[in-house]
Amino acid sequence: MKMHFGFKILCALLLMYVAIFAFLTPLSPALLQTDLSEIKPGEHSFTLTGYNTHFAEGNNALFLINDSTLSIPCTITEVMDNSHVRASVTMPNEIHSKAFAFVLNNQVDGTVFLESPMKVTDFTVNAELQSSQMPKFQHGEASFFSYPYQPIIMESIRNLMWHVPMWFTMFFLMIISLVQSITVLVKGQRDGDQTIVAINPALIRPHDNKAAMSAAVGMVFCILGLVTGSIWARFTWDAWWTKDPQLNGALAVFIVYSAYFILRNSIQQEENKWKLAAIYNIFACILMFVLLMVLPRFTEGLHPGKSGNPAFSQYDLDSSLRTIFYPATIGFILLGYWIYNIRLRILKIEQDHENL
Amino acid sequence: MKTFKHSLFFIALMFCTFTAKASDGMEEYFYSSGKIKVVVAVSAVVMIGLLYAVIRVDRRVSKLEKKLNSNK
Amino acid sequence: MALSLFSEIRLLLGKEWKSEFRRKDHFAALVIYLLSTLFICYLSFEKVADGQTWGALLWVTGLFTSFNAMHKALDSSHHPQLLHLYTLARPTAVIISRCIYHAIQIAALNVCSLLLFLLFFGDSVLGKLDWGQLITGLVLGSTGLGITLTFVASLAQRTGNGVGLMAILGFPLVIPLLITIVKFTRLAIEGVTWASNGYQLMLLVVLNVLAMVLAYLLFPYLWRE
Repeated sequence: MKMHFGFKILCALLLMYVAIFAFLTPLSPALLQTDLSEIKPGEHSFTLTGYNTHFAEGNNALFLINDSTLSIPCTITEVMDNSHVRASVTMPNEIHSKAFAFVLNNQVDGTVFLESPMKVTDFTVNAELQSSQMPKFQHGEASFFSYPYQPIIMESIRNLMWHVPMWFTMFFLMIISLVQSITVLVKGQRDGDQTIVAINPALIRPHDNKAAMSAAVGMVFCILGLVTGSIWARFTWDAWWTKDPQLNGALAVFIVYSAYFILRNSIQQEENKWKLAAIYNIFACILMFVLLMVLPRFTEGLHPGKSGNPAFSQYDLDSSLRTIFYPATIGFILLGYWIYNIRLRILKIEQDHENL
Repeated sequence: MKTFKHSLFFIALMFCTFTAKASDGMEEYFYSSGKIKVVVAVSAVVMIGLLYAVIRVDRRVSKLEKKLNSNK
Repeated sequence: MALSLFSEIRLLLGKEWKSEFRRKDHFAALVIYLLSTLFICYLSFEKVADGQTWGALLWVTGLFTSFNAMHKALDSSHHPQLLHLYTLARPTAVIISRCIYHAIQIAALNVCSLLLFLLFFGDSVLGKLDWGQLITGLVLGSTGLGITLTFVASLAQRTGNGVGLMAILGFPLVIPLLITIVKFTRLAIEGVTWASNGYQLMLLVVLNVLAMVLAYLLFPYLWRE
């Protein structure tokens, strides 16, 4: 029953690593905005604002590109500081299409983009137009180990290390609960097959305890996932609660498991309780998979990667996120298992001394 | 029943924080410096939540100790 | 007597029907319940202006009526004959016959509900409705509700506090089914093709099969003793 010491050390180290690097890893440099609201043929001068950029520390080359076929060079007139630069551009009369993007190359930052920020008027559109040379994509040293910049999410991408492992831990604990519930039924069945022979309590009770305690600790992580998700949603989707299928699925899971505990508490006779709770738990766990893994794939929602892995396939590709996210998941799963283990031991002592 | 009661407490806490933070000044605060404050709030919630879970476990152990001592 | 599973199911179903027909007031009471629920909806809504509300209201009414229809499953003491048969038959036959019986009952109630909806709320929002899809949804939704609720009712009955626990245990378990069926109905009312409603249809079938398989596998554990 006791946990190996190495587990606890591993858990502590992983969570410490996560706590440090979830905050210390910088965000990739990016262009935030420009004060240029409208472009037409002729000369414009404007300011570009960057985020985490190093304009003052390297040579900047700025282009206005049009559909990745036409490139218009801009002149940088003044580098104000690391995140502000003034520039001017002379626009020709003919353009390729109305989709524009700023591309800024800098040795430190690499290539940073800002897509179609302004209104386009008075141009002649010529689809044949083409530049002989396009700005090349560069890797900078600042983006070597950093989290990807996403326009609305920005720094809150770090929440991935806190919010998502809650759900993984909940899944892990609920699966333990499912397995233990199935064991309760299978073992209870083998003993109770001869109609009146009583089930051996010593054989079944430990499994029932495990099922109940892992579900209880899973509920803690479910609540934490809901609360953190709600806070993150407020500053990303502008509402504490949204119509997202995954969010509502998670709340439904919470309700289902609450019903599981109500069921447990409303039955006095122990053998009956074990059996009925186990049966309901199997239903609940299967429902959890339907609600969190199946339904979100078929409903349009706000979470990224809705038609693949419903949780995080968009970020999945980024190796810098992965090097923190996987340890975070393992660390929180170990922590969940640890708490579950302690609660199980306490429950066992309680039960042993009730019977004395 | 206990688990359920504690969950209710948690939800009540959640809604309290929601309504408290709804003012404009707070909103500005959370949106400043690239929304890093949101991360601080989220990680704080995780820490407080887990701490609360541990305190509950601790309380259970104390109760058990008291019971065992009185039995002796 | 050594009967096959199929004939046991048929026998049990036959008995269920007989007892149902002997007590017609039971079904009549459900229809009255449905009628008054709908009448309250009709009086509280000025008018149902869009298909989404129409569909959602149809299923919310359906859900509450289904829960009421489960009273028989909760309280089989009314039918001593059936109770005796249950102890003789194998558990899988009992659960299958009960599921079929309640699915048919709930489907019948939902058809009544649909007719009453047409009476009260009219068909002004149903201009583009695909009737085939609506009826399919009605059937699949009713079977899904029937299977899940029959199982939950058997479980709640064993706790000794049936009626009180029924709602608490049952409502959370039908959430996925309800989400899917409401969306299916809304799309049917919007008049989309079968192909673009395919995901919902598939989900409904999957949820039905899942509920049936779980009920079939777990009921023997519930029934023994």
